[in-house]
Amino acid sequence: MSSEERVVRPYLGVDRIQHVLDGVVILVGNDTVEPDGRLDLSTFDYVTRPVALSFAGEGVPLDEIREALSTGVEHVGVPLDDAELLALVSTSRLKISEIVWRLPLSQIGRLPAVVPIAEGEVRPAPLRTPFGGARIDLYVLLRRSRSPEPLRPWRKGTWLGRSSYEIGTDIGEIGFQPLPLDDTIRAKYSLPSNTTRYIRVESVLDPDVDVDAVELFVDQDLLAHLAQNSSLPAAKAFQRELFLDAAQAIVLQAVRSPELEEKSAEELESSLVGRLIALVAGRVPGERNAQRRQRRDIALSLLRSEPMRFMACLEAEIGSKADLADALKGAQS
Amino acid sequence: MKYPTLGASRMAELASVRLETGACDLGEAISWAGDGDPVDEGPLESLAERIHARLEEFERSGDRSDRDLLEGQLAAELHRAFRSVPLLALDDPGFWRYLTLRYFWEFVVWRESAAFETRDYSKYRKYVDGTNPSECVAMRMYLRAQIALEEDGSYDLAWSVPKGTDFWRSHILRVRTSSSFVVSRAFVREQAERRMATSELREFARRLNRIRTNVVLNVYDTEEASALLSELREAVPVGTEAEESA
Repeated sequence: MSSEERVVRPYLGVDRIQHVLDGVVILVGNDTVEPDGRLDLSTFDYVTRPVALSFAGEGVPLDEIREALSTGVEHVGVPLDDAELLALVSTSRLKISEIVWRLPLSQIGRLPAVVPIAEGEVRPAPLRTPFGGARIDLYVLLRRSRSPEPLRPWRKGTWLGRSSYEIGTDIGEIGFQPLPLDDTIRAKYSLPSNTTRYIRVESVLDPDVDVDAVELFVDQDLLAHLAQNSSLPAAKAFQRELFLDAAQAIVLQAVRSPELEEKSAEELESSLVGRLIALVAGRVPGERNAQRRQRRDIALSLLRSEPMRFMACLEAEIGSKADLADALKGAQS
Repeated sequence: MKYPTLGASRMAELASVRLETGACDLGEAISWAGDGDPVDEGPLESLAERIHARLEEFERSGDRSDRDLLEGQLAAELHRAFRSVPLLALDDPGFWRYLTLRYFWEFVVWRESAAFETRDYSKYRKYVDGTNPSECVAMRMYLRAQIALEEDGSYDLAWSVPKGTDFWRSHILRVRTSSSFVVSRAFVREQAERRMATSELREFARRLNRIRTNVVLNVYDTEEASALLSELREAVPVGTEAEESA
């Protein structure tokens, strides 16, 4: 994080507001995303699932939340009419941000328990961009400028509290788009005629190489079945297996690369193997960068010393057991 | 809507062939994503013809030093031609790879000629593979026009900063302020009307980014954004033209 990006909150009394926002969650279909949390979905789910802000999901009475927000803002010395709640949905790849909801604090009595953000095909642009993913930010901010005062927020748009949520696609921070494997491809790569999957991957340590540098070929008939039955447990289990196959190909190439020994997790961050390291290291909401870096360095050490145990940890992280069990039981959905 | 895409490895293979021989067969390399009717490529074909003509015209013109000027002007045409392209396709790196090879190859090679002259794919990959939005030439043009587009439908800001390659790349497209279109436009307007030299521009951008960490710029209207940038400008030490050419 550069010095320009470091967030400094120099204002008195904003903790109370932040405390309220720390309790707000995002509902994505049946899943819940906590502040600083991330949810990864299939492309289909990403562009179809309902998304909503939930202010009172943990049994906290809505009136208490309204009261806490009002007193929090007043505690900062800002009149309620000068502040608002605002939800912003963004996707960095296409540089699109949309304000999807706002409510002046002077109208806090109208705060609903749940604020819908997306429903079916009616959804903001950033929730229609599965490659770029989306970030949802909920703010309490100044809706107009005030007279400048030391240690008091005064500039329009200054936020007094914020909670952020991420929604992405595929499994974890990395997903692979299967390509059809037909006889032409089999002949090109000298594969037996009954091959159902084949993976080509290169430059797994290069930070400029994206996930589409992984060519994950899947038999074209199987791929068609997968597309038609993507919501079935067997299809979900198969997709997870494909992900693990591709991940294993990346891990194998990484451990064969002499340069791996010289790299830190931070240097590998945006490379293909770096994204797997991030998945294995996991996320802890609210943790500091130094802690996250430390956990990623531990995951990198595991990859170097015991690549198959690294793969086992990866499998555990993506949680494939339930889908596999459903598939084996023959569940229909 | 269904749209054509190219995989990353296919792009690497075909780009090398195209560069060496001047042609390549996209045929079997194309994969289709999405569903329903295929995207209408008619406007894209017309756009490719116009780009070709404008490029020839530019090369015949007297002053050929500002390639970014042409990129800005063509960015507007590209953005107009993409009106009916679904968001899902615009978000997909594979679609940009297809577009680059199918319609924009000559322009991209001309625009980033130094990288292509190396014949090394690792050097020019970022301009063609669609994964880096602020580098991939076709995609950065789309984003540039998207930001420049004003409420009255004018795209003039897209080419209003002379020799603006570094300005657009480093201070608009790469930074998170770029999703606050109103503030980004005010920044472009400021640089077009009262051009800052390098050190002044960097300091100005640094201060704007610092403000962004505490202020949600998306709530600013045009007038408020201009006032904010004027205030910042007044606080920044003035640079010199000598630095400009450095």
